[in-house]
Amino acid sequence: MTATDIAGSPREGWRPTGRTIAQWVFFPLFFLTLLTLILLPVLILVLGSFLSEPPRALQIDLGGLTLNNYREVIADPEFLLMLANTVKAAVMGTLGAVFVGIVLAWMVSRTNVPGRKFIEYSAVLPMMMPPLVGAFAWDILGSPQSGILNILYRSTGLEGGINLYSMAGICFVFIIYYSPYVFLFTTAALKNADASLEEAAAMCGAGRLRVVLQITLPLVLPAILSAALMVLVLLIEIFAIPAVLAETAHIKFISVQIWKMIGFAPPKVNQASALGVMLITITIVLVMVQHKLTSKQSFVTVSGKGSRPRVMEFGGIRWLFSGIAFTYLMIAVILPYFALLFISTKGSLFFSTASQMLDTSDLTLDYFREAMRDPIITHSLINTLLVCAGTVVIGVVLYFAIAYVVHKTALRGRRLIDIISVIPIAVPGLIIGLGYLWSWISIPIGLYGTLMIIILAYVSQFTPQGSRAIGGSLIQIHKELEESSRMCGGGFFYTMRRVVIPLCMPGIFAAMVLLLVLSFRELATALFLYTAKTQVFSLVMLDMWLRGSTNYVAVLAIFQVSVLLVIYIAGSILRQRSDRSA
Amino acid sequence: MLGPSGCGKTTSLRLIAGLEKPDGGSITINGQDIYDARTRTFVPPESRGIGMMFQSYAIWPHMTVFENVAYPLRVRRVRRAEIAERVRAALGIVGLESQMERPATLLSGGQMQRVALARAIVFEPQLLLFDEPLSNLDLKLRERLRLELKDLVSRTGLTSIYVTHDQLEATELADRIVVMNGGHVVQIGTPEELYRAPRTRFVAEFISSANIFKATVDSARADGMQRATTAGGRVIRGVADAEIASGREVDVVIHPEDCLLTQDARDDDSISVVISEARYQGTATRYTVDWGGAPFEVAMQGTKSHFAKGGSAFLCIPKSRARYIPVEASA
Amino acid sequence: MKLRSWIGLGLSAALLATSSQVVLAQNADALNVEGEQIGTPELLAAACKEGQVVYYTGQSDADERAIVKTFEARFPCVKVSVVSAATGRLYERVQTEAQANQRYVDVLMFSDEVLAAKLIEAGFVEDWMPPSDAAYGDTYKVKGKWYAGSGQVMYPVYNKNLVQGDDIPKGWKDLANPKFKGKFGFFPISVGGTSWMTYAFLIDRFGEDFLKELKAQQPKMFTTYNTVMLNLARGESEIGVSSSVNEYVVRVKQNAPVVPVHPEEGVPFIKMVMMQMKGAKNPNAGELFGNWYLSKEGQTSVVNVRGATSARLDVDAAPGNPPLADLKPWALSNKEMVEQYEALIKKVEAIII
Repeated sequence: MTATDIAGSPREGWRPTGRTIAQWVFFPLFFLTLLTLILLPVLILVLGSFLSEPPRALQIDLGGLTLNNYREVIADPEFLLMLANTVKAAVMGTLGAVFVGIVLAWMVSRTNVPGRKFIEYSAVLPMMMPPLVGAFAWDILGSPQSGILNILYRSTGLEGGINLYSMAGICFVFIIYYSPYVFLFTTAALKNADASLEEAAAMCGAGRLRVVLQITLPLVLPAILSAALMVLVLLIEIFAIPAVLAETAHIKFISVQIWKMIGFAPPKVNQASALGVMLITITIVLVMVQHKLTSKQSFVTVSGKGSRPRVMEFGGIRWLFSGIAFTYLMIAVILPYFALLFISTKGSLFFSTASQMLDTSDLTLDYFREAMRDPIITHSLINTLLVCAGTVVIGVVLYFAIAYVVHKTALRGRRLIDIISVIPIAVPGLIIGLGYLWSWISIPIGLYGTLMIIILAYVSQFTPQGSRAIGGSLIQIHKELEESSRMCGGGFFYTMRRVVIPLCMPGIFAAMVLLLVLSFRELATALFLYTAKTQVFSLVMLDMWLRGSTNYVAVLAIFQVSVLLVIYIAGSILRQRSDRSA
Repeated sequence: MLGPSGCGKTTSLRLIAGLEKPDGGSITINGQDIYDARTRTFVPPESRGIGMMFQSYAIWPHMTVFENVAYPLRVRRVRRAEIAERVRAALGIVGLESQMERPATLLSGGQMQRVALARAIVFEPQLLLFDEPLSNLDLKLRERLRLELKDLVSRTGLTSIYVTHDQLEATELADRIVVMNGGHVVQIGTPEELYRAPRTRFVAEFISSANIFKATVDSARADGMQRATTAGGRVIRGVADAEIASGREVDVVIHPEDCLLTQDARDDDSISVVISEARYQGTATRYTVDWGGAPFEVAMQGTKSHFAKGGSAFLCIPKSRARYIPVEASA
Repeated sequence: MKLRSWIGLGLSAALLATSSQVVLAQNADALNVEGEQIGTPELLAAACKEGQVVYYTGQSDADERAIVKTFEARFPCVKVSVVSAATGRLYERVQTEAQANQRYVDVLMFSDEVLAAKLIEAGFVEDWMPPSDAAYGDTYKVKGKWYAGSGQVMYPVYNKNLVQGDDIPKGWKDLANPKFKGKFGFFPISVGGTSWMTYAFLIDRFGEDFLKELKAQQPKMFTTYNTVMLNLARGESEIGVSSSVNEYVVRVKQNAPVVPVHPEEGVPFIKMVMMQMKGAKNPNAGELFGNWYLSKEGQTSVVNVRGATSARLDVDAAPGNPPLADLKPWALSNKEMVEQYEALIKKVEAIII
């Protein structure tokens, strides 16, 4: 065996190379997938907003081309007020979430605050609670008359109390359930940020506050901005929290308006599409602003080489910091869980005095027992787990492909793919379901009525979150690691399998956990797509909520939160293990 | 391949590796076309049989040393027993047999470097490429690895292309150096050719710290030498590749190491100068002398410094060690 | 060899199971529901052959599954697949499915007569003459097309912990009591057929000025009747207008301190319209199911599970609810409703949103 013999061509004979397969099979397939999965439903909605009849099953009557939907939406005397409320609450919620998220992330990754490992794990727990359940729990806790907290407060003889039925209350709940996003992004960025820059600033004589404000924060600014943007967009379209809290407060939100337009008779789906298109436009503008803001600065300092983050040593004050963090987590995590547990075991949740409330004689496990007996609970739980698994498997493959094309190739059109992959976050879940229904029902492969259509809808909807989670870790893999595999004779797929994917595992894990959580709790998307056989858990919960069976909602919420917690903990353990072995 | 950063040397290397696709032309290795724009031939990098060492080492952190080195063999479906044997041999060459089962992340920079080398040679490539592999190491380690590399390349007899911006590395390692600038090959030659007969002022400047100054040729060729005079009144006799017309402007290149400083005038060509600075460097002393009102560098070997700042001396430039490079109109 | 015999055993067991089911279901006696013959043996045989009904409903999924249990006990050969959603969503799904020529739904029931009229006009609705046709008054059906498979009434409700003595409301007019200003839960007309009928009733009985009085009360406007009830039961509001089915769930099933008012002036009755879809995959099972739903047994089940109100006078009200006649139900015929539909929305939205 001579040297050239081995070295010449590792795979003898003519075989389609990775490159040709990629060029002629994968890229067209990939584009087609993106087109049908993401672009088509959105385009159909956009089109629908300009038509007088909905483009159902892709039957498009261009004769009905009109601007009337927009005109009617804008002519609504309350439109501007609704818009102002929506934007105001979203902006305030985002600012609060950013503040809380950053402070917690900083404490966890840059200080010696006691219990910071614990803070790190519990700061994301509010994500496990779906917004509808969260809002419901806070309603139980903080409604002005019979909120548990208010009853306890007044039983001490004091006047007043808190009022969750207000703009401030809504923003408060926004902050609790959306700061984990900021926390996640910021912690990840802080962990990767080159600590030597902070050390350099400290050596130049900068005080701690100055280091934090002038070095640390700007370093992770892109991560914060992109998290803030995501939160802002999600808050603009969030339906569940305003639906539960805003109506009593006489505050009108666009998302609730969309819900009404689609849910009630006669459905105004075209106008709802028009409202949705307006929200998409706002989002795209915001995304472009963010790109502009972050592209001006080059943040080359965030390197893949893990230097140990710089920890600020605090004296006695660290106990104060720790106390503040734990108090916050107590409020954000423990209180709502407690409220759910309380009303799921309380015979009647209609109490108005402390003695009624604290009466333990009607405590019961009946609701749990009945829920366990109900076959729909197990049935929908199995469906949901199947949907989650499907979403994770298909989603991870697709998001990996997207992230790879965007970050690791010089393919023409990859910026376009990047933008396409953000769009789903801009479309309210309430109406994107319509887009899927309208556009996919005619695809002649028997999708409709199966779990697969729900899976595909979720995959499409969570593209922004998923592809970003994977992209974040893909971007940190030095391209020479991949190239050296090619030089060693590994073809494209071999390189993927043996080098790129194993190195990207942290991002893939993060995406998997995120997808599991999101697809488990997703509510609105499946509304148009489910059948009796494909009932999912969150819809059973919505049904219970709408028929007023509040105790069961609490029971189901506890089930859901428990399952998500188990998934989260298992995911964390797995990830730690893979971190350690890497 | 030697050149300043951004001159295109790394791109050329990547073109050879197949990591970039050229716009046109052709690349041939050992008589085999691996790229040809006309026939639309493009052999992907994994099929070219080239070993490569990257600047960042590119050691896969999720594998052990053994797995890293075994990778190219596994790709080629070599038998398990043979893999073990050849990996051991390759690691033996770079002196890392004892580290085989260590995770790659626990290695030092120098060790990573060796693993990368072992990985590049283990499958006996027809060509070995190096992309500034030593630039991330400290000076001592760099010198040692340089020697080892040279030794290894000559022992294995592998044709290697080495990219660097460090002229010392290039002169020490290379049989032939390709000097590149602004995307073009400026000169190809042995290190000695480049030192002694740089064809452009750029080459002279880049590979050495020679004295370079402008002068005007004012004599015809005699004994292979011509005379030139600077604006400041220096008169030098030097050589050129071909006779240069009288009156043309040239760059005069004189290596400081070629010159001598003496206490007394040796011959008529000795030039009286004043020492304006002396820098003792241990094994040599570098002097800046005032010659005709302008500074001139001289290096004297030896651990003893003979002249002090402010003293006077005679400068002697051995015949044919001054070289004329015609100043090009465009340059 | 062994494997084959196992497969054989499994197959015969499965065959046995299905055939025994068929035998069980083909007992034609089951067609006699409390003296009412709800179908021919041929219909039953065909329904059993189809084996399932896909039923889209605007009523709660959990409630429907409970109701359907009684049907499946009587006809074990037919399984009912329930899909529940708000009326507007159901309509959109049915329309899209029909236009894509993918007929999934066999029986449809939702709360909007105007949308039902649209479906009939589009030719998506099958003719249907249930044996119990005569038991439904003209207001509660469009003969041969749809029947009120379920119903609810709307009435004022108050929280007995907070409203006592002279303040206890007797009728609709008491909603305008200044004491309830800011503590009154209500809903806009845009919520759907139910709210439309309530506003139609209020204007018919008390005139437009009464709406202005209600507006002056600064009502909390909810988009679901469930939230009206929850808010009221938890004492966040003192009085409200809600649907009897939502009220029933919290009062009877959760012991909430709420009391419904049965006013002298009567209450609006809102029909859930049930129809058979054209081109359905299971037309016979669908018809059998629809016929049963309208039967006394079916209606009793609807009433008891949901606290709903049946349009059949021979069906007893749910335990704890007064008989329908005592409520003095008020309803518009489908014709009147379709005629007044758009104009009324405009009129109401000019006053109160």
